[in-house]
Amino acid sequence: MKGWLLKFGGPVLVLFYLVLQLAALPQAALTDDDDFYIPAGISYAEWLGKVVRFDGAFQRESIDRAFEPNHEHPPLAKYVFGLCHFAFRGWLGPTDSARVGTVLFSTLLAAAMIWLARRHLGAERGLYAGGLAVLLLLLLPRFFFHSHAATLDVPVATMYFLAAAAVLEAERRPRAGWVAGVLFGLASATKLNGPFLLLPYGLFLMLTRWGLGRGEPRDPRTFNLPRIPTTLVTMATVGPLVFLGLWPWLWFDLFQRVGAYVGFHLHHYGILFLYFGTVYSKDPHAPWHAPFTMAATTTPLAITALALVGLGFGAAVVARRLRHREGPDDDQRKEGDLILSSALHAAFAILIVAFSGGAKYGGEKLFAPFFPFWCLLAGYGALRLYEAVVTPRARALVAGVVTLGVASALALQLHFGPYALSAYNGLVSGLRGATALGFERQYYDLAFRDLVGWLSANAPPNTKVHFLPNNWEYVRTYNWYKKAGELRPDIQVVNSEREANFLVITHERRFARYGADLQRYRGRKVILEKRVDGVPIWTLLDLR
Amino acid sequence: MRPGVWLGLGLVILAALFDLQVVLRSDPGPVSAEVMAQAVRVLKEHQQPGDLVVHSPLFGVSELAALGELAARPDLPVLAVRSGRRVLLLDRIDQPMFGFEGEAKVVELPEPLVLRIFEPSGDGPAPVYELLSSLDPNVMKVERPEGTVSAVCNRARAEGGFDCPGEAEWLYAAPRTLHIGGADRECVWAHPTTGGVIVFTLPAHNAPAAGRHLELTVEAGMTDDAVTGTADGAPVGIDIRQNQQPKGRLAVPNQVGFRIGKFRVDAALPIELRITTARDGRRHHCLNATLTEVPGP
Repeated sequence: MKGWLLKFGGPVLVLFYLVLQLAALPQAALTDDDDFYIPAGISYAEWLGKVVRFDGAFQRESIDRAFEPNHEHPPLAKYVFGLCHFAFRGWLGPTDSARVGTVLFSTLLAAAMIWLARRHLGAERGLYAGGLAVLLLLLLPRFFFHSHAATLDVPVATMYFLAAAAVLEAERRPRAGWVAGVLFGLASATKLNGPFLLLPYGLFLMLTRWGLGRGEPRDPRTFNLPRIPTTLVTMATVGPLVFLGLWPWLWFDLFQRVGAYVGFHLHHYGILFLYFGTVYSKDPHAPWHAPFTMAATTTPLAITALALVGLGFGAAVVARRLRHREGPDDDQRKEGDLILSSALHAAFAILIVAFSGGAKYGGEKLFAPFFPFWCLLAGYGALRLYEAVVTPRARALVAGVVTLGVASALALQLHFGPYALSAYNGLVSGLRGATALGFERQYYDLAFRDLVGWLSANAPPNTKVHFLPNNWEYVRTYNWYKKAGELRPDIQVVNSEREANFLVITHERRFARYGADLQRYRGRKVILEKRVDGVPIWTLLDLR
Repeated sequence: MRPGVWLGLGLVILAALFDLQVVLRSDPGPVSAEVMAQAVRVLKEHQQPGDLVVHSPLFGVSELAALGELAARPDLPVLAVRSGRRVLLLDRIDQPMFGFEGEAKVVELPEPLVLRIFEPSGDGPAPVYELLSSLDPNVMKVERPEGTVSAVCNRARAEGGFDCPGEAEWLYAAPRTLHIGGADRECVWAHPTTGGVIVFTLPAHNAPAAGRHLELTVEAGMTDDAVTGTADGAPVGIDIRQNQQPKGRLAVPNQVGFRIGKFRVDAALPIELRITTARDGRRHHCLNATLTEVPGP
């Protein structure tokens, strides 16, 4: 039985992960970003078709036309969205087909987590820690949601993790350094988080190779340059080549377009973000602690508790690894590398958002690479708790407590369901407490599918709907539902509220006009109101 | 077992219980119309002219129906407003709204409601609106000719902001960082158009307390390149209007740097910024508009 588990446990769990993700796809609401990335993906995939057909794909005009949509972001994930769109659209419709791409990225991440844990903790311990980590990743309500949106956050979390895993593998197999270089290029070609992998890796090198903080006596008369690892060289050479090779938009006017890409993100337009009752956009952005607060309040608490336990147990392993850099006991060092590397990547994923001076918005989406590392630490924490006791009774107690933790995360996941971007944990008393504290009860202009279904089933013929306070986003997303056949073709989202006979108020305090809209329409007949955790999310009003 | 293991297990149990109480607690449901109506009656008994009324963000549309025409919003007023105005907060006792500092007078209401009254602690200027951070698709439109709306700028741009269907692609409302007066300045792109009027509409605001009024500050300018590279560039004018009545004009000549104007405006009426020029060639014009409650008669 154990042999079977060790052999097939990982693949079965990954398959389970994939099936659950796919099963949830029809419930996942469209976000405002889907309408940017899916058309871009379709355009990029059509260009790939020209490449295959030798149809003038490499002429500048063809490249510019294909890659102009959404040229603010690199293309890797959008290629996948586009290819999945064409592969599955007949079966799943125009958007869910593209979103299969994100599910595949997320599943690849699950597989990589188990692989990395097994490489560094051994086949059995790694399967337990990595397997539990994957299960916990599945129970992160917000990461689960992002795993269904055709956006770049889960893809970059995946590619970042793969690159980090290859970097760690190269510690013992230098040839893997070449793979790390390629994966680093792919991560950079997914989203801007990718290149920042260099920061935690640099610190990892300083700690493990160059003796930072070890206080070793040095001869002040000699100065030796530290040996540069192959991985760093490939990341600096192969990585940029892969990045450029994948993004034809940069092939012409290279410097101008790279400058424009960097400039766009350096001066990113403000996006509203409600934090402790204050709306931030730009100048100033939200304070540095906002991403830490979002991570602490949106991750199920038991996962964070297990990750802290993992860090607690792991600290001694890391300290030993840093003391004994060479010698026969490489298993200990491997374990230390895994914990140190996971802790550094998790920390930097948030630190970069907190202190880079860039925009902070959208709850947890900007630091998605944080979550797999955090879950890995949580899986490791559970493993070490179990290993720290010896009697069967004590082991049963540990197993029971870990099960309680997993069950509480599962309960939170089910409690919020498709409204996962409204999920807050018990630290802030759930969504109810978070709303009273002045946090966002939702973001991303979610076009919830239960409302779409209700309108299609119940709205009178030729119903005209208007959304407040941000109708323009729903004009775009509802068009996709219409194309998919989910929304009745006679139902229209209209630009003017005066034309509308149904009005939907999405309760989003970050919009300055929300309070005034609420005031204007408070006397109208409520047809339907969606409440989650006792908090209004959207209200459908009758304007007839 | 080692103390560390007990500590770890205790931490996981505590964390799980915290999350489980969110899942297992009962849903309070909406407050009944009778209770809300009773609360509003008590609130009105305590209300004085100039008070700011805030309500819990947890109330839904049907609960708020009892407020009728009462001016009340779920927004946390900025500190300057909180310190300058008496604030009446209609809140839920089980989940109080965060952000109000200082002692409040508590007026008991039928459960689960409570009325909290915060006295003002100061009398300084209080910004209540900023165009730059409040851009939405209803804020800009184009009139061509004057008086005829030819486009409402409500189409989302990938780069941020909104452009105007049917109009030139350089006519849009969006935050930009531009070099004006020798420095990079953030402002709202507001390119004028020959033969038309660019209209920004700022929402109406509630009347301030007695002894205070609303003041609109407009700063506007053209990019340094646009000024220095277009010697014969036309000036741009911004007319401020409420209810079709003029409230002032800010002239922006073809010179480097921002021009600033302050205008007294009325409460409860939207404010229009109407931007015109004789020739729109290279009029890379940008503006900021801020509405502030200031002391004064």
